[in-house]
Amino acid sequence: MSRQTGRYGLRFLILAALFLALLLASAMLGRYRLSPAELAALLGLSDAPVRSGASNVLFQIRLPRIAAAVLIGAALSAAGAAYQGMFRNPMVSPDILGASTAAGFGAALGILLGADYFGISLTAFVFGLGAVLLAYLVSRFARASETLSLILAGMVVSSLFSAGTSFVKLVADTQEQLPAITYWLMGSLAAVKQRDVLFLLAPFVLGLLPLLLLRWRVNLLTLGEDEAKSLGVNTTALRLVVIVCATLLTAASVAVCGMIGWVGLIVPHLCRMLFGSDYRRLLPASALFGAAFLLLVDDIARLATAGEIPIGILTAFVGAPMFLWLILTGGGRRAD
Amino acid sequence: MQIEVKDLCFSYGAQPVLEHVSFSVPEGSMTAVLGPNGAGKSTLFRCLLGLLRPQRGQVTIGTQALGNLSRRALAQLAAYVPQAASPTFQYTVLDTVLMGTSSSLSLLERPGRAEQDRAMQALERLGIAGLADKSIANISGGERQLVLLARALVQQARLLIMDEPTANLDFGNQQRVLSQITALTRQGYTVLLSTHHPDHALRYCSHTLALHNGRVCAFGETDQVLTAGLIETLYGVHAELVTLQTPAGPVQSCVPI
Repeated sequence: MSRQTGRYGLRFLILAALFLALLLASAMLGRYRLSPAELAALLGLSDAPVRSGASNVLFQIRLPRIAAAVLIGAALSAAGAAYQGMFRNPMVSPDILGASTAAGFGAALGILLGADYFGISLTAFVFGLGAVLLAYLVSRFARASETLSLILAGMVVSSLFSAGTSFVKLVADTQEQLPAITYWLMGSLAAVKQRDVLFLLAPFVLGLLPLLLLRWRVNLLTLGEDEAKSLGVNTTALRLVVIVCATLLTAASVAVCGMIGWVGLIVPHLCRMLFGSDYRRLLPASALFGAAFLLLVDDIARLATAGEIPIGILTAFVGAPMFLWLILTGGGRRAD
Repeated sequence: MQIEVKDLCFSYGAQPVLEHVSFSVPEGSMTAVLGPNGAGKSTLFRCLLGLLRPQRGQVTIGTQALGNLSRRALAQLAAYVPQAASPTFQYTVLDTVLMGTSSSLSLLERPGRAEQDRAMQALERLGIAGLADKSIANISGGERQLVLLARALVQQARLLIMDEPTANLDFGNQQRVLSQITALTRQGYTVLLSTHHPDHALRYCSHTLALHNGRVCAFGETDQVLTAGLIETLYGVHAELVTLQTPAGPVQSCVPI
């Protein structure tokens, strides 16, 4: 036992160290490069001289973007891990109940109505929450089993909103709005400002904290309805908490940065291989790994080419081959 | 922990599954629930575990009426040992057994040192402490069944309800699992288990409950009620009960003719 705990502890430390290194590198790298000395000075750690624009670059542009990548990476991965446990299926991603597509529709609608960036986030967030609420209510009145009807209701709601998005695209102005909608749907952190990070913070804390506190109990949901109940778990209440929290995290993420796929599916998968299935380790590890992963991908998105590559495209480019590799090597089921 | 079932009726819509089921088993007994597929064995167990709400009748566990109990309170009285299926996620044996502690922990609590000790004790009691760090996906079906049994012990309920604990096990593992269960009844646990093997009832179970089309067609001490006639009623096959002389004494067996 101690040997195993020690091994996981070491892996967690390595992950945390990599994350810190990534944070520092991300803060310094960019078209406007900051030296380590400048960074230290800007953070108030030394008195070294700094260029006049440096403070603006770091605090107005780079740090909000880093914070958003970290929060969204952690949020999507934690939500994915929680949903995978609840649905007893390692192939589930955080948009299973339609939160992402509905948020996408909300954003498209916002753009169509000429809302500003913040307004777009807000409509996206509201639609994301509303869709899951709708799916949940439908499942409560359905005759089939709770889990199955929830997934089916999620699919229906999801395809409804995706049709809605297509309709908005159809009627949108092709000069301004349509490109904006298309670009937004591809997902990007390029336009993130301080205000967006603040907007993200409340749903992030409200969604992640209960999941972290209840994370051991998420294990019990993976046993299935009957077993969990016979172990004394109020599954209906616990399931509702997981849905609400994971939806808050997903909807807020999509609202700020658009559709970023794969993260919530791949990261919990990799973490299960590295840290085991127990949510006591899996959930914090997924959040940390997800934060580091999205930060890395966003760095590539802004540094690799002179222009910006939408991050949603990159996560798919990275995620799809990784997933294939998992399928081919049977990673998730490997013996330990 | 004795259990008393009075006039239990359950139906899915208009389809009755259990009709006027009544029986009562004493503390420390081991009861085999026999019956053909679809006789209502699983439904009965799900009613006893509070997973289904019967339309009529009453279940009393110890001194408590089932209808008034919360999930947590019921979990402290009765534990469920399901059939060992292949798991979705790869938990270690120890983590699996620890899940049995949930009814004794408050909502935000996670198992600590004390719970871990309890889980290790349960594993030792069943002679599988050496498996603690293994993944449940990498142990045999018999071992997995014992792990689920250990999880039920950690739950600290005195009534164990087992759904075909020997299904999918090889000949040796069937006997090993059943002997462990018998040992538990000697320590005061009350056991209800469903089985498709009359031999298991004859060999290990003090009591037998025979269900047919949702009704009790026989209940009592095994050697009184388990007859060739009962086997014919339940399964529609001719069988004969024979007594074999073995070095360990006479053993009864049911042989289809």
